[in-house]
Amino acid sequence: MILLLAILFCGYFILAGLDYGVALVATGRRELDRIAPFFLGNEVWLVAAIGLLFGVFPADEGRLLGAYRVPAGLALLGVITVTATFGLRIFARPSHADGASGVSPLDGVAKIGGALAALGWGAVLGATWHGGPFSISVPVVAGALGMLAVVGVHGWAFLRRRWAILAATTAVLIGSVAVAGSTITWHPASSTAVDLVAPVAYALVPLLILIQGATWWVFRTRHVSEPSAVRRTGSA
Amino acid sequence: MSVLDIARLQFATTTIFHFLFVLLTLGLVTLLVVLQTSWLVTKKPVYERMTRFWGRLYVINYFVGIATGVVLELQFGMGWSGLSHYLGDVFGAPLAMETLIAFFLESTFLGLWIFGWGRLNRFVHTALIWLVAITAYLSVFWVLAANSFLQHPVGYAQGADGVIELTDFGALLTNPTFVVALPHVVFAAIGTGGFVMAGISAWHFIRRTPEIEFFRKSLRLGVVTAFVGIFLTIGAGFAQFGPVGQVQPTKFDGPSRAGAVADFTARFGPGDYAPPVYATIGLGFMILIGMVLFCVGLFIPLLHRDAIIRLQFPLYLLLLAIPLPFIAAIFGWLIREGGRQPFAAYGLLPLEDAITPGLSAGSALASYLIFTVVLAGLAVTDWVLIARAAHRGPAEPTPGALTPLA
Repeated sequence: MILLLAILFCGYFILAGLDYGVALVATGRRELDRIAPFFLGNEVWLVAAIGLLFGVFPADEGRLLGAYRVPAGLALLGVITVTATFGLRIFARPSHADGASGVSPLDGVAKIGGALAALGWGAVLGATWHGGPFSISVPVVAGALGMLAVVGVHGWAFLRRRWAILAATTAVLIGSVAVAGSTITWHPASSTAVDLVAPVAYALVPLLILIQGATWWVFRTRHVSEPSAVRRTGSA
Repeated sequence: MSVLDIARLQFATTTIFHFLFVLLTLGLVTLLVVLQTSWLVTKKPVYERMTRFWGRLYVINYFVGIATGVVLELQFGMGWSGLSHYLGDVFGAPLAMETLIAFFLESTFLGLWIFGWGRLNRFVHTALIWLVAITAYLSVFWVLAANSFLQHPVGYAQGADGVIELTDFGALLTNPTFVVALPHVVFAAIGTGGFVMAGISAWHFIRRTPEIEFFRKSLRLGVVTAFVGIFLTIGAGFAQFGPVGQVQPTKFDGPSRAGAVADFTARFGPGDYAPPVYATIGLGFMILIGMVLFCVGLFIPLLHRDAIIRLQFPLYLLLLAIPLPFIAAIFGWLIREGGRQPFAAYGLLPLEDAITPGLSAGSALASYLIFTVVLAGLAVTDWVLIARAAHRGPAEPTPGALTPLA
C-alpha cells in the first residue's frame, strides 16, 4: 500500500508539477494551451493520493495534515488558484481582448498560484522530513525554494521539449517524495478497512495510469491552437 | 467566537460552496447524456449544438467544483484531525473509494470528452459522457455513505482509547440515513439541472432569440426534467422523516427527543443537544421552496402548442426560479448537518474531540477568512462566466475542441 501511495504522490508531483511549472513560466495563451488537455487529469492525482492516504493510513493523514496545515493550506490556495485560472482562462473568453500575444491578467494570477503550490508542497515535504511540529526551519525553507526551482524547470523543460531535463526534474521530484516519505512511521488502518480499499486501489491505479497514457497518446500531436505539421501541408 | 465555532463555520462554508457546484454538475451531466445520446441516435445537428452549449456551462462549473472539493478533502485532516484519528478507520474507506473510483475516473474521462471533439469516434465520445455521468453518481454514492456514517454510526467497534475500527462495511451501505438520503440528493440535482436549463432557455425567449428550435427543445427538456426531479425529491424527502427521526431522535421534535437528550447528557455531560435554530428554520424553508418548485408541474400542460412561450409570464417565473433549488439544497444540508450537532459522529464523537488539537483562534480565523474570500471570489467569477456564456447563446464560429479556441 505504501508503494501505491508513493506512486500516487509521485504521479501528482510529476504531472501537476507540469501544470504549476507551465503556469509559472508560460508567456501567453499558446504556451498554457500546451498543457490544457492534460490539466484536469494531472490535478486529480492529488485528490486520489489524499483519498488513499485517508483510507489506509487515516491516523497519519490526520497527524500530517493537522501538524502541517499552514504550508498545506498555502499549497492548497495555490492549487485552487491554478485550477480556477486554467479552467476559466481556457473555457471562458473574457470580454476584453486578450491582446495579440494572448497574454491576459489571469496569467499573472496563475503564476502566483503555481508559485504558492510549489512553495507550499515543498515546505510540507521539508517539514515532513524534519519531523516534529511545524516551524520555519532550514529544511522547510529549503524544501519550499527547492520545489519552486524544480517545478519551474520542470514546466520549462516541458514547454521547450527538453525531454532529458524533464527526466531529470522528474527524478528529483520522485526522490523528494521518497525521502520525505521514508521518515514517516506509518500506522495502517484496520485489516477490515485495508482489505476493502486495497483491492480497489490495486485495480484502479494501473487503470488510471493507462488512461493517463491514453490521454497523452490521443493528444500527442500538437494542440489545436498550434500550427501543426500533422494537420496542414507545408511548413509548421 | 471559540476555535471550535470558527472551525465549524469554515467547514460549513466550504461544504456549502462545494455543494452548490456539485448540484449543477450532477444535474447538467444527466442532461448532457440525454442530449448527446439523442445526437448519436438521430444525428440531428441541433442536438450536437445543444450538447456543446450546455456542455460549456457544465465545464465552467466543474472547475470551481474541483477547487472547492480539494479544499474540502484536505480540510478533514487540516482542521479536524481528531476526526481522522478517532473515526478515520471507518470514515476514510468510503472517502477513499470516492476519490479513486469516482472522482479520479470522472475527471479523466471528462478531460478526454472536452478535448476529444472531432478527434474521437462519435460512439467513443458519447460513451465518455455516459462514463462521466456514471462516475459522477458514484461520487455522490460514496460521499453520502461517508456522511451517513457521521449521522448514524454503524458497522464499527470502539477500542478502549476511543478509536474506532471498521467491522462491517455492508452496514455502512444499509445505513438508514444513507439509503433514504441518496435518492433525495440525486433527484434534487436532476431537478436543479432542469430548472437551470429551463430558466436560461426562458431568458433567451424573453430576449427574443432567433434560436427558436434550439431553446424550445431546451425549454421543454428543462421543464419536464425539473418537474420529475422536484416530484421525486419531495417524495424521497418526506420518506426520510421516519427513519431519520428513529436514529437521530434529537433532530426532530418528537416523543423520543427527551430520552435521547438524557442519554447524551449521561454519557457526554451537560450540553445543548437540540438542533440549532438555523437548522430547524432551514428545514421549514426548504420544504416551502420545494412546494413552490413543485408548481412547475402546472407548466407541463402549457407545453402544448408552446403556450408556455406565448403566454410570456411562465418564462419570467422560470427565470426567477433558477436560484431556488440551490437555496433549498443549502437549507437541506443545514438540517442534516445542524441536526447532528454537537457531535462529529452522532452519539459517538463530540465535536471538541474531533477538532485538530492545538489550533489557535488566530490561525483558525486567518484560515477561515482567507479561504472564504478566495472561494467566494472563485464562485462569483465562475457564476459570472456561466451567466455570460449562457447569455451568449449557442452560436459558435467553428466546431472543434469544446473551448472558444476556434
